[in-house]
Amino acid sequence: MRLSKRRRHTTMRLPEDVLRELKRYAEGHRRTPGAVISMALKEWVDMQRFPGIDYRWTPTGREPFVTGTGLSVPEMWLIWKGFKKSWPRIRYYYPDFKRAQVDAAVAYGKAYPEETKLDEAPPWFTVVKV
Amino acid sequence: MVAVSGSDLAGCDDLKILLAASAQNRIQVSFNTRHFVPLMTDLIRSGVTPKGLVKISAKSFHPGDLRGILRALIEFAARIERGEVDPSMGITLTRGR
Repeated sequence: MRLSKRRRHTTMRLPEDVLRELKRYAEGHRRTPGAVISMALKEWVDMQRFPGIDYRWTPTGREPFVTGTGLSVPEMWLIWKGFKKSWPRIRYYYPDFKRAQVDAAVAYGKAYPEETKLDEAPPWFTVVKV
Repeated sequence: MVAVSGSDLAGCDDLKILLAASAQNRIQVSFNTRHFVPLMTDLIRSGVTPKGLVKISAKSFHPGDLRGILRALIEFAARIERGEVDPSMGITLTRGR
C-alpha cells in the first residue's frame, strides 16, 4: 500500500481507549502512532471509495484484497486484463466470482495503477523456457 | 492438475492453498509468487518440504491463455519427470526456448 509522500500536520482528539490501542499496535509493529493512524485512515478511505475492497495482512505487509475471494487487487486486475476485460469470459472460467468483485478491483486499479503490478520472481528462481 | 478456482480452496488464503498443495505433494503454480515465497520459507523452516513453486511469467502468458499455460505446464512436467529441472527452489516459467 502506497501513501502520498506529501504530509499535512493536523491535530485530533481521540477517545483514550482508542489512543491506547493505537499506541499498543504501533509499538507491536515498530511504527509510530502517526504512521498507524495514516495507514488506518487510508484503508478506511479506500474501503469507502471502493466497496468490495478490504485490506489484509500478507507476508509482505498490508495489501488490498477483493472481498469474498483470496485474491489481491493485482491478481484480479491481471485476470481482468488477461480475459480482455470481458465479464462473460471471466465468469466462464471463474464461476465463483461475482461481477461486483471484479468491478471493485478494476475501480481500485484505475485509481491506483501503480498498485496493479505484480512483482518479478525472486532472483534465485530458475528461469525455464518452454 | 488441480485449479483453485472451482475447488474447495476457492476463496482461501495463500497459506491454506500452499499447505494443501504440500499435503497433496503438488507443485504450487501461480502468477503471483510475492506472498508464496515468504510462506514457503516459513514452511521449510517448520520442517515441511514443499514440492515446489512455479511463477508463470505474466509477460509470457496471460490468464486468458489457458491452452498456452496448460501446454507449457505439461511440457514443464515432462522435464521434471526426465530430471531436467527441479522446482523445489522456485521456477519462473517463460515462453521461448
